[in-house]
Amino acid sequence: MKNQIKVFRAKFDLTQWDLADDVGVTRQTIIAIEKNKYAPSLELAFRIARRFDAKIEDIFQYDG
Amino acid sequence: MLLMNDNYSSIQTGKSADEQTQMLFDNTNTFNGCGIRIIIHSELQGGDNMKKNNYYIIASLIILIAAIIIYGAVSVWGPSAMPLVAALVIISAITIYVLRNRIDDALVTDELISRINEMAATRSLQITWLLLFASVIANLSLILIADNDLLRTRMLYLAMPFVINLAIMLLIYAIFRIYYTKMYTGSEDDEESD
Repeated sequence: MKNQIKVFRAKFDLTQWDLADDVGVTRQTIIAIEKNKYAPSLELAFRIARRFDAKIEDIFQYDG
Repeated sequence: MLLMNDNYSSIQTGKSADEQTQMLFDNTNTFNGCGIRIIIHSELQGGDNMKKNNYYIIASLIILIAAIIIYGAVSVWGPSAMPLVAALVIISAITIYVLRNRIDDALVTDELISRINEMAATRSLQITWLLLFASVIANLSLILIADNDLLRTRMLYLAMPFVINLAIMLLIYAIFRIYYTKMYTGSEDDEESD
């Protein structure tokens, strides 16, 4: 699973802390997702997409 | 510190790390069982507090050291070592309890941390099973090759706790597996089961 969270964070001028706060997880989780070490749950993926006013597929791409 | 409810609303406070940690512990009982997630930033991880992983390592070392001392004391002094044993158990329990209250990420939880806990618990269970099973096999082998009945009986007494632990662990695992299987795959709504 690839993702564009870093790009969207830059676009929205959000730090990892800010995003973690907004979607209700720890910064550790955001770091792990950005590094593609952890695939978020569907619920968290939707929360992240909602935070960026984007579609989930704009942020997460399945590359299997 | 961030307190979050199901609507993901947040309250940012301007308090110091210690005040925030205290607030968090004060609030814990109120939020228990209400589906409210509590997250502390690692900004709070300062001072003389420690992380949960360090706590587990220190607690296991305390238990191990106490067990070795108790084993040695009982072996050397027999029943007269009981006051020392009692004191060691109490001191160890108090130390572990005090350390427990110094963990700064004790209440931090989210799906990644839950996943890490699940993986760690599963691996621990697998390795514990293997160790217990290996111990049972080793003990049974020794019983079979023992050359007198007294030794054989003693070995049997040594083996029994491992066998009982293994059986209890398997039983608990089976019970939880049945419980979670029912919880997540309940067949009542299965349209294709007819």
